[in-house]
Amino acid sequence: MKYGMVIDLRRCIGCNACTIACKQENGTPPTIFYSHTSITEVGTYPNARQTPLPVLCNHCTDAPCVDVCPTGASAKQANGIVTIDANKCIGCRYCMVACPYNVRQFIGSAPAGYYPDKGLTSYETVAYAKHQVGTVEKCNFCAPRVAAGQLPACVLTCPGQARFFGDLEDPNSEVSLLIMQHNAKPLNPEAGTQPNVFYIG
Amino acid sequence: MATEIKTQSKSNGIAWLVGMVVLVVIGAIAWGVQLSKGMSVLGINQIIAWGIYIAAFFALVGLASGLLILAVLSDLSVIPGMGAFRRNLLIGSIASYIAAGFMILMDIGRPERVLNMVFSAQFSSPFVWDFFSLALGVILAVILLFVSPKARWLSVVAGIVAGLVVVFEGWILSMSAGSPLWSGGIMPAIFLVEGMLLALGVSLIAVFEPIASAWLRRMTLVFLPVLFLLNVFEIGALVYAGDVDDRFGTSMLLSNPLFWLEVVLGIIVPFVLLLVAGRNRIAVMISGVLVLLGVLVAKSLIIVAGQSITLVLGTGTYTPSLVEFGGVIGMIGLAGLLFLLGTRFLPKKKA
Repeated sequence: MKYGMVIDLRRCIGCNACTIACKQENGTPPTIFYSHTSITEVGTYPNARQTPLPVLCNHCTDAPCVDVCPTGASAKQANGIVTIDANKCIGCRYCMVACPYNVRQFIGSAPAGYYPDKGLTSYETVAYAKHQVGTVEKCNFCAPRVAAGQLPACVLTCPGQARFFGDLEDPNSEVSLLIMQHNAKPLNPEAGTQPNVFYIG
Repeated sequence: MATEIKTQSKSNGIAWLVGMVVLVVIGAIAWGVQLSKGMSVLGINQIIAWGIYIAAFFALVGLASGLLILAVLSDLSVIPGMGAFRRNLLIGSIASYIAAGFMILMDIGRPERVLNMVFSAQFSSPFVWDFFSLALGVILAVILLFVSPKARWLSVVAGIVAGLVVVFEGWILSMSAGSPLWSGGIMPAIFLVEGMLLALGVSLIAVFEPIASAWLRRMTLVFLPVLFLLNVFEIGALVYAGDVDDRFGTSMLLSNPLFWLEVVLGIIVPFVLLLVAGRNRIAVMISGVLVLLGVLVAKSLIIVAGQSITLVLGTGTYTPSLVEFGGVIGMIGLAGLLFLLGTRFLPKKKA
């Protein structure tokens, strides 16, 4: 079992619904994004356009964040998901420096909420309590949802159905077939980390 | 006359002590602010995760290891006339290692969990190698302080460990897949040379004995061009044959005026000063100060530049906050304070 994701950039409309679904699912504080969509401008006016590129943890097979973590807080699970044990994390941020995708996020201070002058909402109070100040966090492919047989929030939410999730070791899974049919490629393969998020288009 | 000199020396000692206490208080206030408000008060961010705390940590460890290596070279009779300074070199090394430890405590988000590095240590991490070798370096420096310099095998072991600590720190950067600018095997060599230069810089300022001072000058005159060449080799290769990220990273480094200031004031000027005015005490001391500042700036620049280029987030920027400057100043003060207290209160071995 090795979970992975395929993102079809031809279907992505850059709406950031995945970004918001991720924030809602994980209750991440302001400035913390486990998944985000990077917008790049291509061409010159009048033949210019924007291309969206959704980015999240690549759950690399040879994950440098796992290797460099001094306490074993970052770990590769048997199902391929790279997780962080917040109780073991000492906040050294070596994993952030080692990650070729810059997808790890540091919770520097207690979240003040989106409207600091009004205090935290009830939702924020509950949601932010799950985040330990002084530790590093990231996408875990919505591990609790996956364990319950559900899709990650970003996959479920995507209105363009650009995201696909499944077992990369199963040659008949949707993600394996998409990779084969469309010759999907990962980002930055030259970093040598064997990423498990693939892109079409 | 002798009484006057003694009184003046005593008041100088007190002035240094008070100065270092002030620096430590500044550092303590900075840490207090950081602990109460969180690490958002620092200049680091989601792209530049390591800033001048890490640069100062690397510099303090480099200094500590360099001083330990100088003490070992003295034990092995490589540097004549340094025997009289052996105790100070070792105390300086211990003080700098301890201050470096506090610097890293300030830098981590959960300092109360630092012992996870021991009880939950993951030995694939260069950070863990660094942690244990640093602890071993402190222990060996303390042992050397209380044993005869004639125990040469112990000195050799201490020298090797001191070198390894710095090499591991170079590897902390060069083994990072996330920053192509740091990759390659040259970083540990740069760290080793920088560590020696930090120790030589401090020694140039503090050692007055003519024969030892002449040796320190000669060593500095060797290490400065070596550092210059290592940087040329590293940056030259990246500019000429590196990929887009490498070239962009190096161009950011080369377009930073601080980089050129560091090359000129931290390498070229002290080299020329030592070469043409090596017998002038003031020139030697100025060279020492310039070397120290140069290495500190060089470490900060390479650490930040290595993180500046990202795959999808574009380029990151970093400006150290006042709290960060306060923290670094405090830990430099702590090293100085521990050194002064050590030289004053630690028992002197009878010759």
